[in-house]
Amino acid sequence: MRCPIPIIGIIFMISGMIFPKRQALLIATLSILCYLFIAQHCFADNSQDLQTSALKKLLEPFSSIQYVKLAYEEKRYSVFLKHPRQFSGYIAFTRPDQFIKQIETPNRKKLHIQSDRLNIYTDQQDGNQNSQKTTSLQKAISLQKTMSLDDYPQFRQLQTLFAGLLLGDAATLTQYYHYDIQSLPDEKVLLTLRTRSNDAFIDKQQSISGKITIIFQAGEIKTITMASFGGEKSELSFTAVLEKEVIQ
Amino acid sequence: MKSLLLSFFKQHKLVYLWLILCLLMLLYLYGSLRVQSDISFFLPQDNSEIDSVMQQQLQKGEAGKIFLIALQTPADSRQETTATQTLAKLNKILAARLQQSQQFSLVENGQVQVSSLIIEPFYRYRYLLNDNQQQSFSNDHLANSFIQLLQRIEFMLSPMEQKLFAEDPQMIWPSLLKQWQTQQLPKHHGVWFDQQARQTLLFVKSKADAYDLEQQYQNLEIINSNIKQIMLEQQLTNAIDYLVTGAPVFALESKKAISKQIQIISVLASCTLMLFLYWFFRSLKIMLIIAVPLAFAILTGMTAVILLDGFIHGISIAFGITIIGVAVDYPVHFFSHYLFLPSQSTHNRSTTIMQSIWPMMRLGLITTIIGFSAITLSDFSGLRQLGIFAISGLLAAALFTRWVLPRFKIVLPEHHNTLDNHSAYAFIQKIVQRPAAPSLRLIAIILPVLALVYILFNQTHLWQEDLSALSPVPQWQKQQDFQLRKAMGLPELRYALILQGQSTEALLQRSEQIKSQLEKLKQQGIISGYDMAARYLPSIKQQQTRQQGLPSSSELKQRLETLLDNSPLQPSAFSPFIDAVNNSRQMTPLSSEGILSDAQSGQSFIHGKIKTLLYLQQSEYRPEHQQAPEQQSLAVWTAIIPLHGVQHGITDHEIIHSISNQASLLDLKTQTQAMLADYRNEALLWFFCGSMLILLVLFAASRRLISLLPLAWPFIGAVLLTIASLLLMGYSLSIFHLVTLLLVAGLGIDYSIFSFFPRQQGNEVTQLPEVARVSVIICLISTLIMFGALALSELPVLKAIGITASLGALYAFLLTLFVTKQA
Repeated sequence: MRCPIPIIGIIFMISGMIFPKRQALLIATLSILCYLFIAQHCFADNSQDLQTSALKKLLEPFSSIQYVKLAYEEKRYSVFLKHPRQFSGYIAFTRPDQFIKQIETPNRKKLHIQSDRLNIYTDQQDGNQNSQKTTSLQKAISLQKTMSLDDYPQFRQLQTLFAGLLLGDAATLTQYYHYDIQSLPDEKVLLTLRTRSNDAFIDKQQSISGKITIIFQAGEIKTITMASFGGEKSELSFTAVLEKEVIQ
Repeated sequence: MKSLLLSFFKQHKLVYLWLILCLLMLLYLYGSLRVQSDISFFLPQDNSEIDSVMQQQLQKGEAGKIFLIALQTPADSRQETTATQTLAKLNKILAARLQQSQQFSLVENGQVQVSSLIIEPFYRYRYLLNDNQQQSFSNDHLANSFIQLLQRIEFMLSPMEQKLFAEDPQMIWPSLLKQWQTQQLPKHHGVWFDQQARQTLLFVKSKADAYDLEQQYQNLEIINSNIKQIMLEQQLTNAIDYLVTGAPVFALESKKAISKQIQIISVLASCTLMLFLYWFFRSLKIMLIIAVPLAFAILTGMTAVILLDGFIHGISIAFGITIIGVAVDYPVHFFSHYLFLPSQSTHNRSTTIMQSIWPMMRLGLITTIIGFSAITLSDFSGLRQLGIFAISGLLAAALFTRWVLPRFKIVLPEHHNTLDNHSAYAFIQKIVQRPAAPSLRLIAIILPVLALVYILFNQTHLWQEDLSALSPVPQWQKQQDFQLRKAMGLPELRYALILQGQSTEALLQRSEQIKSQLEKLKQQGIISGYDMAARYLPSIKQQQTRQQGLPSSSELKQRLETLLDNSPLQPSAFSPFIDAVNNSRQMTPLSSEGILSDAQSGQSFIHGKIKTLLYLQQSEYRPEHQQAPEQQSLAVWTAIIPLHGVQHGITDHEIIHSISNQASLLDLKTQTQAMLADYRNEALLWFFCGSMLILLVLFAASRRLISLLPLAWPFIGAVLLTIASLLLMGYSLSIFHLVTLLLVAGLGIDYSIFSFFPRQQGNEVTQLPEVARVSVIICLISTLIMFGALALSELPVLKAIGITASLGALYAFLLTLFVTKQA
C-alpha cells in the first residue's frame, strides 16, 4: 500500500499484454479506483489510531492530577444579551467527579456538581456591598437549589467535558464527542470536539454545546470555546493555575 | 332390511331426535360461544347516576388500565449505591422498551423527557390555562422572571432552554407542569424511587380497556418478558426482584384462579362421583350413561344463556357446572329403581319404572324450577343468567331421563333380581332400615327453631357487607398492591363529587364554581386535596376572561423595554414571547372535543387525566326529576372530582350540602354496600316469593295441609340450619349463599318427595320406600361429592357455594329421614 505507483504500473503491463487496448485501459482504471478506496480506508484507520494516540498524548499531562483549581475569565455571548457578558472566577476539579465553578464577578455564584447532584449557590445580598468582603464564602453564598443531574443533562455534559480534560480521560471524551486535533503556531494544539448526534445520554435539544474548541499550550489548557446549536457561545480563558495536587 | 331399519328408527326416534338436537347445540356453541369475565356484569343495570358512574369506572375507567411496576434489590443487598444506579438504568431501559411496544398510552418513571416537555396543544394555550394570570403579568413578577433568567444565562443554554426562555420567560409552562404532576416522588439518577431508595418505580397505563382481559394479558406478558430480557442482557437475573401489580393484574389473577380451581374441582369431583357411582351400581355402562344427561344439562344450559344474552359469564359457567350435583339425581333415581325394585315382569320395565317415579321427579323438578325462576326475574343480569342456566340444565336432564333414557334399551343392563347379593345396595339399605328413635323427630323439629332464634339474635353479622371478601385475589397480593400504591403516592379513591350535564362546557363551568368551596374544605382540613378536569382545561368562558386580561403586543413591548432598560438582557430576544401572548389573545379557546376525541388525543399524562375526569357516559339513565319515570337511553357528560385525604363527617358538612344541587357526593364504600344491600334484598324477596310458590305446589300435590308439613319442613329446616351453621363458622351471607340456598330448598324437596310418596300401581309393587330411600342416599352422597369439592376451594365464591350446598343437602336429608321415618 505504500508503493502505489509500481503496483499500478504492473497492473498496466499485465493487462496490456493480455487484453486488447481498450479493455486493458478499463481494467487499469478499475484497479486504481479499488486501490484508492482500500487505501483510504486503511489510511483512515491509521489516521484514527494516530488521532487517538495524539489525544492521549495531549491529555497525558493531566492524567496524574488529583485536584486542580484554575482562575478563568469568561466572555458569554447570547441572543438574549445586548452585549457579551464578562465573568471571572475559578474552576476547580477534584478526581473523580467533583466540579466547581465559582463566579466572582459580576455576581458571586457557585455551581457545584458532584456525582449526580447539582447545587447552585447564589450570593446573599444584604444591601451592604462591603459586607461581602468580610464574610466567608459559606456565609455569603446560600444554597438556592439542589437538582438531579439527570434532569439537567446539559450540566452533566459540562461535568463530563471537564472530567475528560482535567483528568486526562481520553476514553470519556471519545465516548461523547467526535474530535479532531490540529497543530497551531507557537506550540499550540487545537482540539475540536463535536457532540455525537446519536448519543442517548445527551439529547441534542439538551446539549449545551454543538462544538467545543480547546487550545492547549505547553501542557496546559489555555482556552475553551463552546458554541451551541442555538447561537450561544462561551469563551473561557484560563489565566492561572491557582492550586494543583497530583496523585502520589 | 329397509323395514327393519324403519322399525328400528321408529323405536328409537326420540334418541335420534335428541342426538340431532345435541349436534345443533354443539354447532351453535362452536360458532357463538363468547365467555365474558367482566365482573361489572353482576352489577345492577337499571341504576341511578351514581351507579352508572361506578359501572363506567369498572368497565372503562382509567384506573383499570394502570400497571404499577417496581424493580428492587433483594433485601440482603449490600452495595446500595451501585444497586441504585443499576436499578435506575434498568428502569430507563424498561421504560423505553415499553414505549416502543406501542401498547401503552403512558409510561412514566420520573424521567424528564425533552420530547415530552412541550405538550401540545396545552403549551400553546398556557396563558389561558394559567390560574395566576394577573400576577404573572405584573411588573414585579416580570422583573423577577428576568432576573432569574439572567442568572441562568450565566451558564450556557441548551436549545430547549433557549426556546423556553424566548417564548416563556415567566416560566409559566414549567410551573403548570409542576402543578399538574401529582407524583412528587424522590428521584435518583433521574427516575422515581421509593422513600428508602430500595425500589425504583414505573407507572404504566395500557391502551386497552380495563375489561379487555385478553389484551391486558398480552400487556402483562410484554412487561414481564421485557423485564426478564433486560435482566438477562444486563446479567442481573438473580440480582434484582420485580413486582407488577394493578387492577389488570388482579383481574387476570382472578380469572386464572377461578379457571384453575374450576378445572381441578371439576376433575376431582367428577372422578370421585364416577367412582362412587361405579361402586354402587357395579356397572361401568351405568356410570357412563349417567354422565350423558349431566353433559346434556350443561350443553343445554350454555346454549340457552347464549341464545338469550349472546354471551355467558365465567361465573355462570362455574355455577352451572355445580348443577350437576342436582341433575345427577334424575338418572340415579331411575337406575336405582330400575335395578333394585323387584318385579315379576321384564317387558317394558324401563318405561314402567319411569312412569311410576316420574310424578315425584316432576314435582321435584317443578319446585326446583320455581325456586330458580325467582332469580331469572331479577334486575341483575348476572343472577338472571345463573337462573336461566340452572333451569334449562335441570329441565334438559329431567326430560332426557324421562323420555330418552328409558328408550336406550340396547344399552340398559339387566336388573338385579337378587338384591341381597348386591353388597353396596345391601350396605346402604341396612343404614336406612335401622329404626329411628322417637326423639329424633322431636330434634328435627326443635333444632331448626333454635337455629331461627340464633339467626335473629345475630343479625348484625348476618350479611356480608365487604365486597372485597368475595375477591379471589389472595390477601398478600392485595397488601403488596397497597404498599406499592402508597410508595407511589397514589391517592386512595373513596370519595368523589359527580357532575353530569349535556355539555362539557357546562360541567367545566360548574366545576369552576365549586372550586372555591373545595378550597374552603381544604383550608378547614376536611380534605387534603382534590382534582378536576377544569384544572387542566378551564371552561371556554374562563379562557375568554383570561384572554381579555392579557396585555396587548404594544403594551407588553413597552413594558419589556422599560423593565429591561438597565438590564443586560435585550428586549428583542423576547419577540417570541410577545408573539405568543398576542396569539393567545386572539386564538379560539381550547375546547374539550379535540382533547377527548380518540382521533386527536395525545399520549401525554394531561390528556390521560382529562379523559379520566371528564367523559361521555352512555347509559340507561332514569332522570329523577321528570314526572314520568320512563328510562331514557342518552349520552351524558360526566365529570368526576376525586377528593383526597377526606376526614370523617364530610357527608354532613354544610359545604357539601351547599353544592348538592350541582354535584352528587359519591362514597364508594357506602355506595358499594348499598348496592350489595339492594342486591341482597331483591334476592331475599325473590327467595321468599319462590318459597311461597313452592309451598303452594306442594300443597296442591299433597292435597292435605297435614301432609304438607313433612314435605315442607325438611327444606325449611335445612335452610335455617344451614344459615345458622354458616354464622357459627364465622361466615356472613353473600348473594352467592342466597342463590345456593335455593338449590338447598330444591334438594330438600326432592328428598322429602321421594321419602313421602310411596305408590302402588295395579297389582304390582312398583315402588318400595326402601328403594326410594336408598336412591335418596345415593343422590345425597353424589351431591356431597360435587359440592364438597367446591367447599375445599380457596376462592371465596366457590367455597360459599360448596359449604352452603353441602351443609344444606345433609341437613335436608337428615330432617327428611327423621320427620318421615316411622319408628
